[in-house]
Amino acid sequence: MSKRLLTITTLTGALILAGCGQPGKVTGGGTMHSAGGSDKSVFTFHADSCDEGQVKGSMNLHDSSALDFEDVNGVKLKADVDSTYFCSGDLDFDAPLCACSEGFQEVNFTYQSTNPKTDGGGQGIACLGDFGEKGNSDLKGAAIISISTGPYSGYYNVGTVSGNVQQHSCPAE
Amino acid sequence: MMKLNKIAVAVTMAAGLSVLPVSAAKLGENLMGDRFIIHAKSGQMEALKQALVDAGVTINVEMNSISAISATINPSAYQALRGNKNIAEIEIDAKRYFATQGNPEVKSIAPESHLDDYGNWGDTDFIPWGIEAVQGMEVSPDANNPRTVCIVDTGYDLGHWDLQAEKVSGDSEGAGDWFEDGHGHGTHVAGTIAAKGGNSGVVGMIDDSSANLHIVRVFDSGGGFVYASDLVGAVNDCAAAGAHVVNMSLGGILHTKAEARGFEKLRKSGVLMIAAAGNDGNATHNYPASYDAVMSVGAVARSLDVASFTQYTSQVEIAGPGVNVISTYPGGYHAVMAGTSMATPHVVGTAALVWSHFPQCSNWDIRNALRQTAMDVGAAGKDYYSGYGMVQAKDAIDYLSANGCSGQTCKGNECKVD
Repeated sequence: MSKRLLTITTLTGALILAGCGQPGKVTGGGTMHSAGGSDKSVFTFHADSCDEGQVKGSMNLHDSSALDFEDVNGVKLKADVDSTYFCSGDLDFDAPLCACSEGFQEVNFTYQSTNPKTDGGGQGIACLGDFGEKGNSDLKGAAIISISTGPYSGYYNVGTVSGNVQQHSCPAE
Repeated sequence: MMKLNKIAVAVTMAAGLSVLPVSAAKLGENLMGDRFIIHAKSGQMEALKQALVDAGVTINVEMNSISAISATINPSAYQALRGNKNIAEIEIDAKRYFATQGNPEVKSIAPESHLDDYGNWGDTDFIPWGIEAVQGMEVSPDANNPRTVCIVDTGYDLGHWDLQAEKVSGDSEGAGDWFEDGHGHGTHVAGTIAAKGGNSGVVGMIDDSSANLHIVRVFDSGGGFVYASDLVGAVNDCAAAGAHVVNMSLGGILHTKAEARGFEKLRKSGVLMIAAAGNDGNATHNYPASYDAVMSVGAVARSLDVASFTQYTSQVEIAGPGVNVISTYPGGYHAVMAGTSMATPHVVGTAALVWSHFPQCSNWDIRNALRQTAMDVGAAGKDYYSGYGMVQAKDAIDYLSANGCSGQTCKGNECKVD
């Protein structure tokens, strides 16, 4: 292997290792399997960090048969987006590190329960992968939703998404 | 352009150029790869195949029964395929891993040896607690009507002194020869189903070597993973070999339409497919276990408590012994292993044993009998950890003797029994 190729290969590994968050935008909604339950989990979201210094967005999630929350008729919440990144392999020491893997749009959110049986709120993270949508010769997506605090602490669901999940590049300046 | 970047990253990672993050694993890691399943629109399979060839795509698996193709797609090929009118849908070709908990505890024993730790090992066969717990010692298979059991796993240590060498066939799927097992998982599973009796070894559910075994090796000696598309092909190979029951001690988190459709077709054709519920100890679906066409198996310990690692879902249908399970291991050894991987062959062996007494029964009849006669464990009644309970061989035979067989397959809600 030439020294140049070795350098490029090593650099590529370093770039992917970095996994930095870049400004990005994701919109849409869809369904995936419940967190262990028999019904579908339904969610909608939009999250946008393309305007420098401005983060916009909200998210709704309803997993009526989530097994760990069966006693309160599942998980139902509305969330505001705290931060969102496209998790790329680009090297940028000033950029935040992603918790999601490369290729996903990471959405960190603060939620409030909208379930009449559960009060309060907390925080969580979603990783949304726009691998396409049905009927568009495109790829189906995947989503990971993990809640760390509040009444739905411990909720974790990952699966293939049926629906319309779209990641958007930020407009060129 | 973003999608192309994502695919490029995925392809690069799969090419081995990446380094795993030093920090904790990231969410979604290993979900993506460079393989995708492309579903053809109705009647467009050949046109789709040609389009893939024209785009320079590497075709991995052709799944003609469900009109889909697994292919390795790079960014330029993806660009060429976008908007192709022959494509109905593209999905990730999900990865499946075997479902063992912890490392095996290997026992070096010869037939004349004794196993003090596990008792009763001497001149007679050693009876694993799990075989006894599922009533495996209370009934024998009907050797006149042997069932064919297919094991999709790491291979089979053909020549192991405690495993049958006759009536064993197999397919090698590119992960190594089916008649070898450099890992041990598949040989352990096989022993629970069919370890020989009468030789001072362990016994399996079918201990008279009457079962027909078909081995499909999909995992290499390092374990690794198998793609969903390859798994569909493997189980189709099982069916082609005449399998009645299929053991899948494996799983993964992403649902694929290819598997759901492929396994549903096989279920309708009469195959009984049984898979591990998973070992993450949380409320997460695991596939193929969570497909309706497949029986999902949870694990219980010798105390009959549910194993702490068992994944619990609405799809868990039945349970089997999955803790401290001793069975055959490559090299003439035996090993103690744990996991829903180990629970699954207890159910598979029971199904094959019961079915041998009622060859006129359908896959649905056997599945129903196992559910109806399972021993309630864990929470009272059907629960998310053990389903209807721990499988019971004699009770299932008694149930079918009393109630007979419908001989029919089920469809949709007909498959549900409450």
